[in-house]
Amino acid sequence: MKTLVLFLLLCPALCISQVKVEKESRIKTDEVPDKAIKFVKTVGFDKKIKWYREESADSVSIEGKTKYNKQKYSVEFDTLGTIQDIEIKIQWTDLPEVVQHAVDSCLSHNFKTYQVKKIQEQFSGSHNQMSKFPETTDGLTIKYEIVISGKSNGEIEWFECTFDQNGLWEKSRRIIYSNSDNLEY
Amino acid sequence: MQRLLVVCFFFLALSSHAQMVVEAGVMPSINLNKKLNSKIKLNFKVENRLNIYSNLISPDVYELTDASLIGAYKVNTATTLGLGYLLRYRSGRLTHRSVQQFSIVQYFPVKIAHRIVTDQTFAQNEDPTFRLRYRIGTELPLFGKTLNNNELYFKVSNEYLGLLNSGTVEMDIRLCPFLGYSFSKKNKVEIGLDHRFERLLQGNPNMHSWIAVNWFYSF
Repeated sequence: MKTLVLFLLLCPALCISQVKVEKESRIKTDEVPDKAIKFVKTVGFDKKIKWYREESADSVSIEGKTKYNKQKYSVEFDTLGTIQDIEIKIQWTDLPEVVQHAVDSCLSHNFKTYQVKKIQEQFSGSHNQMSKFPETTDGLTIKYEIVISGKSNGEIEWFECTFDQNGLWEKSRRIIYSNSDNLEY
Repeated sequence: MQRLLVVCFFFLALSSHAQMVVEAGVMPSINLNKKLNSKIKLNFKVENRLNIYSNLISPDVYELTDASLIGAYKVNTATTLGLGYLLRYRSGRLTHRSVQQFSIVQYFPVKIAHRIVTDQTFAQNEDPTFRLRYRIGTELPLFGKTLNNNELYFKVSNEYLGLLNSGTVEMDIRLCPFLGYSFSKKNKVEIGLDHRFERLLQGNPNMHSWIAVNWFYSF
């Protein structure tokens, strides 16, 4: 009970005024900065990497997507090829139990109902620290990006919520997907 | 992919059937969607069919007009329930159809929609027709992971229809590949083929191929 109260105190009412605006487009490998190519070679990805240019409201980044050890990886760089973060798609049960409890408490507190749709474990740090990934994650900052469909204020919408390595809420953004009228009617 | 190939070969085999009625035409449609509140929206659709070719008779160019209105209730971000009514004008006669719809849209890892529809068709001096339909469809952006504004996409759907009329059970199959363009999240245009294989169980199959042009607009 004490733990639950602590979680709720540390989980403020989610301020979700921000909308996730991202435009991504596929790019060829020769459009990717050399520094980024070198980095993915040092990590040792053995499958084909698909490259994308991502434009958000305030930044542009280059993202490589691949599979490694049967997991989906996203590696994000800035436009100069400096590593920003590595994200791995995971399942709810892959989250540490303490994180599961914290996230569930926070989301239950803020949404009448919610469903987890996608989870990515995010690792970030200096170039030197990141280049030792995945052998070691020592010194790296770990976060969890969780996409949910949630009901708040009577409306069911999509959200991307970011939690720190202890499962404490950091930020949330509303996601607006292209409608699916053309698939439903 | 394997499933798609099997379906394609099945359709090719059917189209080589000597007695098959083969017709082709153009089928433009306008889909207007109005969100009334966070839960309820209306879909208004007008569709025309214009004949260009038939291997049996010289058909009239104008075949029919459908106008439908469906009220949809959003259960959650993925699931929608709909109730609607369709009015068909064909050869100077009106046909009435009531429609009940259930759809689920899955967004990860790709956008896939499942739609189950039951409908009942009534016309003067004709026995009613009852249909049960299942459609699976997907929308794949051509230049990225998600569909952005001013981007092309590929859409394909496959529908299976069972129908009951005058005590006779029949089955139709539809396969519809489309190339679409998204002007915005609320404005899309698609052009593609609407292949329909009808009356597959009783030995007199028909094949219709329509060039379909669809405009979807939400406001």
